[in-house]
Amino acid sequence: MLVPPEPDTTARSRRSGRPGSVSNCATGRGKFLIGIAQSSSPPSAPAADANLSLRFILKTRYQEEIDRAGLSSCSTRRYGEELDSRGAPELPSLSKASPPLPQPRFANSHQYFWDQTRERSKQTAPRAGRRRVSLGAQAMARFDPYENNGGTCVAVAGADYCVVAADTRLSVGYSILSRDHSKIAQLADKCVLASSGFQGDIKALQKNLAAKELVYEHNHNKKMSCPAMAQLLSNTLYYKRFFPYYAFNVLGGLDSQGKGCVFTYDAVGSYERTGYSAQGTGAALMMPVLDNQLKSPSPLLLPARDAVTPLSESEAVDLVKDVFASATERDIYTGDRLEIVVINSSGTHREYIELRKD
Amino acid sequence: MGDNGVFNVGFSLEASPWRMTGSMDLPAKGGFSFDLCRRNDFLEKKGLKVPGFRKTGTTIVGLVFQDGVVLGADTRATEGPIVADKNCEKIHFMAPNIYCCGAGTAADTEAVTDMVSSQLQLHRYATGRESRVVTALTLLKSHLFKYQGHVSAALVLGGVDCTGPHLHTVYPHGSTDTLPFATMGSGSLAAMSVFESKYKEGLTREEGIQLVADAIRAGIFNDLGSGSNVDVCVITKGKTEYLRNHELPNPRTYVSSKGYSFTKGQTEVLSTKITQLKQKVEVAEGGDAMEE
Repeated sequence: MLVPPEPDTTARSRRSGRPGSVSNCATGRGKFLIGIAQSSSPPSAPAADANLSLRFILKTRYQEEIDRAGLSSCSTRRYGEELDSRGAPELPSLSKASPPLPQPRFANSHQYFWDQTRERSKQTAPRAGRRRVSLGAQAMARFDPYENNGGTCVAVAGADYCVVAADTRLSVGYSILSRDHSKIAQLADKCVLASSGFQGDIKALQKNLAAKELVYEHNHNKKMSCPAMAQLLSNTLYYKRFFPYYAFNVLGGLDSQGKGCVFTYDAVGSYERTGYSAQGTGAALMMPVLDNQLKSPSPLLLPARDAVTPLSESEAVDLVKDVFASATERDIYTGDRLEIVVINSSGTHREYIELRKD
Repeated sequence: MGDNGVFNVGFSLEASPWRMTGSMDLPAKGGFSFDLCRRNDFLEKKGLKVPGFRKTGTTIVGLVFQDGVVLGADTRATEGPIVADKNCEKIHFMAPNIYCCGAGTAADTEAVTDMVSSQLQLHRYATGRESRVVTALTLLKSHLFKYQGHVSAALVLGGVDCTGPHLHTVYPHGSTDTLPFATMGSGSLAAMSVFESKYKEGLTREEGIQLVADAIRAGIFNDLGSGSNVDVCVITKGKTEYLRNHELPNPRTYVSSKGYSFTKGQTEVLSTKITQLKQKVEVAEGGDAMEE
């Protein structure tokens, strides 16, 4: 049963009486106090404003607790200080443990509970996790320099030919910007580059390479071979290692012996000569089929073997068309039209077939 | 006033052995239970990859014509950039005279339309009358509002009942519109452009079906989230026709004449390891007879 405390005039006289200091207990995170104790309200309670009186009463209840524990809420005194016989504060002793919590005095355990949590929250460190962020500190949207325009590119190398193919869809988000945008660029007479990714960067990259190829021609009095262009492309990409071209490239052509060669790149210039490769949004759908159907020697075998496919040119072109039709079924960014470029000893030949437009 | 009545109805959300001891329980409110959200946040911070939703990235439309309502939908379901289902059904049954097209998260549209459809049937048994479109509408909107937009279902609800033809759109947060023609989904802008140019009141059945098919095709070809085929559903007084795959404008463009063979040896085998499974347990003959 709640025992109304005796009026303690000394305690009251020391009371600071600031209503603001009590409001914290009602706004602590996760705590809701709806009702208040009404016992032993002091006779001089200012009851004009209900809210004020609530806070006053809360403070009074808590003040009594503090006083009973021999502590004071006065700012000049530290929590936990004991008074010696003369009334002067003792010097803090390091060996003393932290003061015990006030003994539970109430049969109503929820009142005890409320006091306990109040005590505990005062002692624990501020909780890590979500803090209240001021509304003024909202992050501004940063400019994103890249955009993925989608699409897929494939190249397959044969004994004396090379097939390079790419779809012609240019998209942004869920929209189609163009159904007729070529991703293939002819860099030299036996060297063709197909790139998917951010077409702005790709256009810049192609211009860059074309200029460098022209300089090479003037310096060496011959056109660049495909392996030489492969190295140049790798260097150009790595030059922008810390602000890359968002371009996923596949370079195809004939090497100096007239055999088909395919070079595959990542965005910063790591490259490898392979027998076939796919890059772009539909690449993951195509590579397993190419691995299975091109009958190239496995790249996992040792010693490393020449990876060109033993298929004929028409078989390879047929496979590429079918593989694109399948990828179009399942990849939303691939479709519209397929551009196929075949490079062989007689030159470069271009072919188009329709793909699904949805 | 001198008595101490401590009405501490509050409780702390921190873990505490004294939780709720002695306090009055508040009456259970409706609304979303956010109990697991903290746990999910914690798991996400620890690196758990949240499973993605399959969205239908859709074009759904409806319009009112002179005899009733025509609903239309595409048939592509996407999981990010990949087509998960090339021919799914987006026009859901609610009642014999009410159908509902659904866009948004596929699981949400399925679940919410199935649930309301069952509720409507129970209601039909209780009242002995044909379901009304506003009944379905109210059930849908109150469910979606209760979940505060977390049930991501954007619906086009249409039907014909004793009060006439009705067409409504329902948004994931629970708001609704009543319209003569409506589109929803990622392809809604493409479809709405067709409706706004060609819609007029008092269309005939053939004109209505043609306009709906045109709108869906606009979504299919211009929106990457919609594709494949056109489904149409025509609802009139006393009769409903569900024209599944009414148009198939996207056949596969190329099929290899050679075909494929997957003979053994095509995949390079690098190494082989055979592990014998344990021998099977043999059942012994005889033993105790079963007790009757």
